[in-house]
Amino acid sequence: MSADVLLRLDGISIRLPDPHEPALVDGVTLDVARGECLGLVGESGSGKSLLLRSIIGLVPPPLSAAGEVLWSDVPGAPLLAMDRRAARGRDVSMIFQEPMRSLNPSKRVSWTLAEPLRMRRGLHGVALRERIISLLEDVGIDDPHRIARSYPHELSGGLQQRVMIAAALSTDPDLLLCDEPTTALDVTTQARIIDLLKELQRSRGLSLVFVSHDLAVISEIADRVAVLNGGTLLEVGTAREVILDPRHSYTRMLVSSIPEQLSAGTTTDPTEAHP
Amino acid sequence: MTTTPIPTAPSTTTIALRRTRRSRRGARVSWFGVGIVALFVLVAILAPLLAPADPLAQNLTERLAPPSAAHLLGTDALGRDVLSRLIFASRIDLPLGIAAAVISASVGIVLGAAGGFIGRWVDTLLMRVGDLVMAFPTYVLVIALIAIMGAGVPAILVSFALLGWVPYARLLRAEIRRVTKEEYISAANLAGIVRWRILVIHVLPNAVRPIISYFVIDIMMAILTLASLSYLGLGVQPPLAEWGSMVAEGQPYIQTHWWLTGAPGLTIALLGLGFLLVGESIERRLRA
Repeated sequence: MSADVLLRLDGISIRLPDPHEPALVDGVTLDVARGECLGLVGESGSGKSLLLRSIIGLVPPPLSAAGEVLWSDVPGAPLLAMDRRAARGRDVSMIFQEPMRSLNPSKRVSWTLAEPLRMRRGLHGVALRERIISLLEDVGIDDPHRIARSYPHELSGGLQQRVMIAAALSTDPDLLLCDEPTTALDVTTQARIIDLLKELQRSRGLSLVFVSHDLAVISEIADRVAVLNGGTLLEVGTAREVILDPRHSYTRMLVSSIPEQLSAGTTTDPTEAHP
Repeated sequence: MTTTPIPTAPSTTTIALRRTRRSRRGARVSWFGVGIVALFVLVAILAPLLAPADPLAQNLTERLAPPSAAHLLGTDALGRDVLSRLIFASRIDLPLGIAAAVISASVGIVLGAAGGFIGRWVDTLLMRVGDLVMAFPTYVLVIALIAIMGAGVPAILVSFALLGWVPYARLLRAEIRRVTKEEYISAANLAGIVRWRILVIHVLPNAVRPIISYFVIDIMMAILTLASLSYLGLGVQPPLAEWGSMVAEGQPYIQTHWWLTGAPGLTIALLGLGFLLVGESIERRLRA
């Protein structure tokens, strides 16, 4: 791997407590380069979300994860085992599938955004308020003052997901984990959120790990694609390689299930497909 | 005569609209219930101003008098004014009922939060103890406690703390287990927020909802239990006026002087109805 590696997953396995059960994720080894977007694709139950959660230690009990997560803070620095506790709320953030479930329903948006800034960054008063507004502006929200005063249920799904992205970015992470962040959104909103994530990836030098079952979405955003099936890694390659020239029969099947234009390599705006 | 409009079956949309309108109306606060509870609270606060006589003053020459202008609800076996006793009893039943529910809720919230949030053996232990408490006949336990501690208010409050917490703990625990699976809790974990803060700030406010309506109804049940115990002579001790003990005192004369038992009995029923209506409208409100 020639690129500057930010994160290395080394032989990650996730198992049920019963040792006789097959592993849910079986010895996956993957690199994520600084500033790239790695797409993790697979069907339901392929272990892609579990793998993503294992990066930051969010594997739900009673499951247990084994293997090493290595991490390089500064460009050029050697890879070291990631201190997950320190990484939380600083180096790694995550956005989720259901924006409504990922925002505390009893707190205003401004409160949700303020909490990590107060707790982890020690911001207060005017500085805090300005930071919240600028975060909301960064994720493309036009009237940040009104949105900051709103409760999550008063916002549309797209706005909720933007707020969630703003919350995830509030502590300036290096890595953003995306667990199907567009699946619960309609096609138009989906395209806008993907554009936003691409824009943030470029402007902030952010690395993304983007999980989706939708190869069309992955082909829009990912630089490299990793295909998971039944907990094992089938193939990894640039998005072009994997989609245009899939090595594995399972990947070929996945590719053949997406619309013609996409598999032909011309990326289209999904909004145009539905006038 | 003009043309009569042809009756048409309401469309499904109209039916749906009507249904939402009705359910919205149903979700409104029961002002009748609120009114009853407010009335009792006012009466309790203003008891010395409202009561026509001293609730403890005996007048043996005027015992068992029927309702009249001087004594609106008559007098009891010791010649005490029944209306005044009813009014002053609200100063005992209402605060004691609320205190009992507050104690039950506090114990239940702490234990339920511990079980739901810590889980594992703590949860198992608490829930099995809860099962044990629930499986045991309440009054038998209360009476045993009173036998140990002696009749009176302290024994009653202790027994509420020991017995009343189970429904609160169960409700809260179930809610906490639901809420902790929500992704905003994962997000808070990920943001590096410490555990106790996640519990207090993120989990509890989103989990207390079912407890609120139960709390209001629990006040009613506490008052009923208090009245029952006093009726049995185990609760509030004479000569203090308490609705349950008033029912007991009037019981020997029920065939000739029905108002002696009827008045306190109906008072308890009315207050219970008030709390029930308030509790139910809170419940519906929160669910809507």
